[in-house]
Amino acid sequence: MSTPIVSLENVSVTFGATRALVDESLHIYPGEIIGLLGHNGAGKSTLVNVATGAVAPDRGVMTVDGHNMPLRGRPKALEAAGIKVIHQEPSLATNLRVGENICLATPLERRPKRERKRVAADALASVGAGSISLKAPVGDLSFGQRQLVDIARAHATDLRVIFLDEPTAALGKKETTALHGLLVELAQSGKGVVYVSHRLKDVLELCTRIVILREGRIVMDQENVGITAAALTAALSPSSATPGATHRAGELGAIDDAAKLMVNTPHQTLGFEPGKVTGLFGMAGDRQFDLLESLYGLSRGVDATLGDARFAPSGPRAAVRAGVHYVSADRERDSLIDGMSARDNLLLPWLKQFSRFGVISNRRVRRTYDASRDELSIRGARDIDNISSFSGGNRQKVVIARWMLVSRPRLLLLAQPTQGVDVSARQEIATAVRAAASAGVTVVVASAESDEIDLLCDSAYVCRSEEWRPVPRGVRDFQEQLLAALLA
Amino acid sequence: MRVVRSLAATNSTFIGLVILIIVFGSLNSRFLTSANAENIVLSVTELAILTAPLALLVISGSVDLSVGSIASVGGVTMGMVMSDTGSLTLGILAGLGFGVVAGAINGGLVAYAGLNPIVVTLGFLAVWGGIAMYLTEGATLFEFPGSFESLGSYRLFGIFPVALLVAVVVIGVSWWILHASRFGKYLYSIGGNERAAFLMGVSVKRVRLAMFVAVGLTSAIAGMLLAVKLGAAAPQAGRGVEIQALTVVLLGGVAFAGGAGRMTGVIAGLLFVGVLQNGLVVVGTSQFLQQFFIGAALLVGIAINDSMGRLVRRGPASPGRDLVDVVHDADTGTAPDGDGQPGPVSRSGEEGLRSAGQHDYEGSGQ
Repeated sequence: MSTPIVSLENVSVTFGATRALVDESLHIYPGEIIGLLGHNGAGKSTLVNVATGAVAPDRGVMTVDGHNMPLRGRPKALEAAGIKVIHQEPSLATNLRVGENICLATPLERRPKRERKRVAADALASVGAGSISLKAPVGDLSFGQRQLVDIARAHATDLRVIFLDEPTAALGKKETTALHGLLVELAQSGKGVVYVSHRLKDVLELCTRIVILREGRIVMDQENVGITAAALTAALSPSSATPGATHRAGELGAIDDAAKLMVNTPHQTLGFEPGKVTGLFGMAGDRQFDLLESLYGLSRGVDATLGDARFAPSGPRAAVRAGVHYVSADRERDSLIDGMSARDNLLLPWLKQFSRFGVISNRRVRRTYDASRDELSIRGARDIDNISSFSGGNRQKVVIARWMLVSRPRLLLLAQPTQGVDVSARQEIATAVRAAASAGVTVVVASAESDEIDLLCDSAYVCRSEEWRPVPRGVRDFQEQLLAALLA
Repeated sequence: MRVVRSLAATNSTFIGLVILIIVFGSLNSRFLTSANAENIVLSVTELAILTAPLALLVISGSVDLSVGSIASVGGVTMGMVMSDTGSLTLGILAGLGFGVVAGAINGGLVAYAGLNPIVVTLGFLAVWGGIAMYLTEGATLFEFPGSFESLGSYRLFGIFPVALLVAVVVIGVSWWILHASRFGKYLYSIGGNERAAFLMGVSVKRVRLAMFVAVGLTSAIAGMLLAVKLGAAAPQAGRGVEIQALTVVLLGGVAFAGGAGRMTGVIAGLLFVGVLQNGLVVVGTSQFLQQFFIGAALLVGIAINDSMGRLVRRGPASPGRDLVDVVHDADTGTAPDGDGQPGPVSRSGEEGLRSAGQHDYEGSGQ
């Protein structure tokens, strides 16, 4: 076998009391596509962060082409050595143009303008995005196009190994296929590819080798030959505790003000029944998300009734007072306050209920936090620790618990609530959504992912240019029906 | 040891304070006397009154540069009303009233008109400073009613002047708001992520306005107490106070971008500035070097705080920012914000004033 491009040996990382990575090694060979799997907090991100220099490990050695690489948490040095990372959210400056972004903060910046242009155009062409103009403002591009520009940026200067963190979380089927094709091409040209994902199917189809992390240790590392999805699931969570087994459904009991939601659009009236989970399905960036935001009072002009009364909240505050809760698709920007503790993040909208004369009762706060933690099995740091010391899936659970468990809504608006969380967190969130519905809550889920609608919803409206097409869950495969309605 | 470690972690100003006391104490025996300690405390009393609420404002992601000028006008207003009416009470009420109005103007422009707090309050730094000079024609006001004189010489238990009592109350209330009350959580949330706070139903504008009014009010109180201390209302009494106050806030470990900071740090910052100013005089340094040392202390303090924070992030359990968000910062370093669409909305109760679809929510902090 050839020599590895990158070798990480005996790497350990601890965050406070958490051992994020325990004495693990990983070798990346040219031409490989490694699928990196693991639950939230298993150490995937930590491993990627060490390899790309964002985190300095406590112990460990890294070599690139056999040369020692100091692991001091210097992303620049590793980038110069050809080790690049593509984050879930493309790291681009949206106020600059495509060409400028490709050269931004790379050695290309010091090259003459003509050469910059040529290299950038070549890079775009080599990732199959030659149709994107160098002059286009990045802010005008679609999510998938931005991701391609990000990859082109990695490609424009020496590229040896590329790490992709959940690259398909926000992509449609077609874009996902195209991206996978590109990754195969990159691997064939001798690069190393590390593909972090929660989607077992994608990993099984695409990757040549599969590495599974659990609680900071590599529990499986083998060539992707004859591995089944069942084997992966087993390796991911050995403890046979089935997700949601400890769940005590409907702890808050049935709500007594269940209300049907009716939304009038120019062409039709959409009905959302209490006790049911109704999906709004459309392409990424489509109107399903706008509809949710308008129901939360974030934009004007929604014509709706909730129960018997007309419903047009003037803003989030009024919406929350009316029993309407909203989980945004952009967790970090819209839902969490970095620097505040997990329990403050959980309870901020409800502090009034936990305080007397403006003084917060810590005892009651703690009790409520513990209840939510147990119900959704929120794992990681303590309740008084910064929310950002929790992993992504557990942060999402805190947001879900805030809007679903601490106080029961009448109308629950969820935008891609299971996006970017692992299989077990997905199940736990799904169980909580079910429980809310069976307590009489009207639940609306907006998503661009058919499997998410399939997981959560009883029926759906599919966004078709001007109108919404109702798709009930029938005898045929629900996902197929959704996609058929979308593309018909 | 753990206590020391956590103090050091949250605030190197504590350590700096101890070092300063040791250095000045060994250089001059007069430094470590109870009389000098009293001097130190009294020298920062008025500053403390406006600095504590200012720290809360900075934690919420805003800033007020006009505090010194509001203090000047507050003192002058009280002086003029007292001279005209002969009533101490009316003078105090006028000063308080001015503070509330000045704070409300700042707050209204920042919270409701969506203007940048630095720009707005920089403007009022000049406006109120100019008005203080104009009202008095640059002269210092004397000759006040006897009740004013006796307020100045009043000492509780023969030791504590009125200003110190006020300062203790203001610091106590600020501490309580920040660390025990609901309002304090709202301040942190707005400073930490204004958009998320708004989406959780926090009345961002009302909290902002209230905080600016509180800062305006306490600035005017500080200005009046300064006049009490000096026995005269000088139009330039508050000049430069905003710089001192902000220095204390930042030395106290409050994040200038908002979202982080503790009251204990601010108290340490206050004592640090007090000890430094006093100590330099006691050991006979040129008074012209005072500013230099305070500036240098600020720079060194911030640098140490920052690197301490980084070190501690690798150690065990320190609630607050830790390694994960360093990573997070690195992740998002180049990207986000581009599509930070302003959440279009207005709060309940004012929809009639706004045309449909108008975006009235702005990220008005920094």
